[in-house]
Amino acid sequence: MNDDKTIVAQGARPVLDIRDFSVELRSGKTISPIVDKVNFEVHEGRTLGIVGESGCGKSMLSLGIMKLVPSPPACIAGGKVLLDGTDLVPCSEREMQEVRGNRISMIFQEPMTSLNPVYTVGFQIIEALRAHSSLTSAQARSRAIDLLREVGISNPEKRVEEYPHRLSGGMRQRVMIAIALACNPRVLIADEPTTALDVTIQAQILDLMRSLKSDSGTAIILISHDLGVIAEMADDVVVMYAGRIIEQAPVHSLFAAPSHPYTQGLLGSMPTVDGDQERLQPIPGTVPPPHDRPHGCAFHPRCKLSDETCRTQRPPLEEKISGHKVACWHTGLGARP
Amino acid sequence: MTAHSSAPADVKPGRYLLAALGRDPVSCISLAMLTTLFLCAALAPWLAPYNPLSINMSRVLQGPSLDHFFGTDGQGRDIFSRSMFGLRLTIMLGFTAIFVGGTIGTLFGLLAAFYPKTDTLLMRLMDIILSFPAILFGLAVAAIIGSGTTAVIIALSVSTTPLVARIARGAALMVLAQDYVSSGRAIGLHDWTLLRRYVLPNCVSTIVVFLTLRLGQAILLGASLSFLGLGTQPPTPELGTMAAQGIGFFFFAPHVTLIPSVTIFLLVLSMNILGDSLRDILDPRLRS
Repeated sequence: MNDDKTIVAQGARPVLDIRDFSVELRSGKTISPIVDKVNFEVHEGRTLGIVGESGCGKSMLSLGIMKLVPSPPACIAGGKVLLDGTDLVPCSEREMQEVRGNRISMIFQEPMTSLNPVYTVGFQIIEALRAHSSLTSAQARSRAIDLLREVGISNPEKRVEEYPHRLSGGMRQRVMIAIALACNPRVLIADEPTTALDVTIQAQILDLMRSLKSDSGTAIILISHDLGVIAEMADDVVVMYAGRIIEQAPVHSLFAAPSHPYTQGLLGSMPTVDGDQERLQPIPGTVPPPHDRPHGCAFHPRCKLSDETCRTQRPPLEEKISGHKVACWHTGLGARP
Repeated sequence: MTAHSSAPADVKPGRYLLAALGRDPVSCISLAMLTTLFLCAALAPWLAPYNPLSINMSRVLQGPSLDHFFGTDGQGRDIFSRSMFGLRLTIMLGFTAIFVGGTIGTLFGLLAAFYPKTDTLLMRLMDIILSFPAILFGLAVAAIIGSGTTAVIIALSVSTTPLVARIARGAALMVLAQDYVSSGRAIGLHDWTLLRRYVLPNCVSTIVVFLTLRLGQAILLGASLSFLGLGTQPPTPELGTMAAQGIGFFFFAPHVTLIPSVTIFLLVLSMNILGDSLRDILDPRLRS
């Protein structure tokens, strides 16, 4: 049934269409690409998962979509971010302020530090509402209470008056979600929304995001290094390595038949419940720093299959099976885990 | 939310501050002294037993007595009354300068932190101002616009601005690195709203603590400028000017110089002690 949805969605125009999007880090004369010509689409009511190790450019990509990369030193080097057909890259800061929080919102990784400590949570939701609509303060307040109720906070009439330090991490992340959803955004970018939370709260937050997605039709970009979260939440998955997309596939296809050696490595380094592996298989080495990326395939120094071609030529992202794209010279050869 | 519910729910920040100060006897004494001095200054027109300007040549340079608690000066004016009015002016000079310098400095510091492009320009400008000693500044201002209260206020404000700008910039840079500023940006707030609601309130305690410490210095500097004859001109009572006027009779009537000097000393001392305690209470890094 997942396939049916994919076909339907492919006919419609994507909510967010990222084309050849690049972010660079410029310090002095060295220019290091952090996100390198990335392409993907997100459709209404669907979730795109972005996976990768620390330092592969996931967070910079999400900040780049919002045009919030810390500049200097980082800057958007090219490409297009089409939100409902309009390109955001040439937009002015003032136009972006209209888009942020209104049509694209974001949830951050650290709920403990993502709320302004000097204002009540109610004030912060009202602030988001009033930045993009002409609600009166009484209307905004009652909407804030509704939002808190929607994200599953009990006794919302009382909670709107609370300061962030009186809420737990899970509660704060719920408040962050309420703020992000305040203006019914078209796209919600969740950058590791559950990483800082414990597992039970994590499950609750993921459930919440899922039900909100099906209620509102908001498209979600879920960034995570946790493959379990991705498997549970995403419809499509993008695997990033060293700033590039190396594998892109519908979630079931990716987990059933991971094609890139890196994706296989990621899956191999995860414990399974049935536990037929003796030991977990780590991927040797680390992600190369952005100013010192290897020639050819960026993964070749860590790859068991690498050969001369891998060292000299960068593999293109090509569709090997329907909907399943891989950037590897060896996938046709039937790479084994 | 259970983690913090052990703290009493409705502690007013002011009451918390007073309670924390009350635990330290030295702060208590300074607070009492400062309150007395401020009351004397504020109520000078009603409490002062004599007109601070009225000359009585039959009672020149008298020592302390029941008629004149602090004695009289070279022109027979009551030093007690003059000290009260002088304290009033000295405190007003200090506060005005701290307010003006603090406001401009905070604005510069926040702008420099928020817009990295203006950082170099603003902060180098502040460095240039900082390289002049405040007394030299006072001399220059007095030379340009003539000596007087205005000259002192300008000199003190200008010399306070770069110090506050540095402190504010540092505090703002720390706040700007916090996640909640990114989330404020991500909900589409304008720069001005971010500065006003996110950056300023979160660095205001650092700035206020610095200003309370600076207030003592500013008062001292203001009195020094007046002492040198660059500030308030006689016969207007100002503690620095009064101290300067007594120098000629120091060996046979030391109280004329000593009383205003001791008043300045007590004022600045209690302000500094209170400023220190305030920093200990407000700065979470120093809290054990």
